[in-house]
Amino acid sequence: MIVSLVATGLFLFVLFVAAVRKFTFFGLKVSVMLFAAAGIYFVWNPDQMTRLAQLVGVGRGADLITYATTVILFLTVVGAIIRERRSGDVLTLLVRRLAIQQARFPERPKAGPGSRG
Amino acid sequence: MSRDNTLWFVIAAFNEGPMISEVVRGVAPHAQVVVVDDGSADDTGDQALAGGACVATHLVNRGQGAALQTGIDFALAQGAGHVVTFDADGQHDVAEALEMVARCRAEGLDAVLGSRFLGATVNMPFSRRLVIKAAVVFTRLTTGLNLTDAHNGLRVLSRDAARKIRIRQDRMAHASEILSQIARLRLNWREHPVTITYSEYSLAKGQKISNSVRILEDMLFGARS
Ligand SMILES: Nc1nc2c(ncn2[C@@H]2O[C@H](COP(=O)(O)OP(=O)(O)OP(=O)(O)O)[C@@H](O)[C@H]2O)c(=O)[nH]1
Ligand SMILES: [Mg+2]
Repeated sequence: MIVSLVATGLFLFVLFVAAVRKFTFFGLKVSVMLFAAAGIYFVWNPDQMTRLAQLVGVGRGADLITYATTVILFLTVVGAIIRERRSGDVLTLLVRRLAIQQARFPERPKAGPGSRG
Repeated sequence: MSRDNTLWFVIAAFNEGPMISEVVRGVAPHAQVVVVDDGSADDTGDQALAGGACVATHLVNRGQGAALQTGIDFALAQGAGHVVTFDADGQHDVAEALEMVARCRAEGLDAVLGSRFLGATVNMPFSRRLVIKAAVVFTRLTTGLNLTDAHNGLRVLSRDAARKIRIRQDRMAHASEILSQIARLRLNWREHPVTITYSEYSLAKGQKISNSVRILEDMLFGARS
């Protein structure tokens, strides 16, 4: 009972955040909201989860949840890696710009013209 | 041996304090040098400056690809006519680099690429040879370039080629990226035999096999466009 209540609370939170927050594309927002809503439904109707699992050829509801969780986790990690790389690219541009602006030149006694360009 | 002020050596260096000033002093009588100190923890930048190089400092480590692009941009801004990419760990030979520049000019090429397999290697570990041979096969298949070496850090680029090639792979995958851009831009390139020396110093710092996995990962995820 307590577990079900906590799970419901979490799904409600996800539902609320997804409803309020901006997403890169609308489909993702709808998917997350549907996912959370389905979560609440299945927490209180676990038999339906098992029926659904059997419908798609997976033995138990719990198994289906495990598979779904794995897939979602995988996609989340890939998304995080892509975002991390993007911010790395931005950092590189900044670091490179600064390096050129603050370049140091060697002391060059009686250097010919052009050494400081 | 007068100094050629339109020729710029670009040296990316990461924690090469013990070696960098010697490498710079080898080049400085012949050409201008920019060392990109890539967030080194040691005195690489000061040593390079003392050796007579211009020094551009990355505040944090961004990898050899990023550092080379910084150095190339700097050299182009200083009016470079030709750019040489050169390793900081003493593995490359200045005389051979100058030969490559002479050839690039004489034959009007866009790029001259060093090849240790046309030339020679000194003390190259077998495992390193295997990995690079695999990279050569891979690069031939993916770029269609008829190469004998890949991931060789010694290259000469004409000003035009240096402006067209844009390195977006921050880390070691830039070596493959440069080759694929040479292919895509249909640049006029030749390979030139060079000697790569694997000294104890360079071996201690050199690429580990595990890093080739990272290179593949970087190529898979691509780079910003
Ligand atoms: N800027 C920058 N340069 C690096 C970094 N790692 C290595 N380098 C430089 O890249 C050059 C070649 O690095 P190595 O690790 O020896 O790679 P390699 O020569 O391709 O590999 P080996 O055949 O094993 O010697 C040296 O001049 C290094 O200082 C880095 O993180 N940032
Ligand atoms: Mg090396």
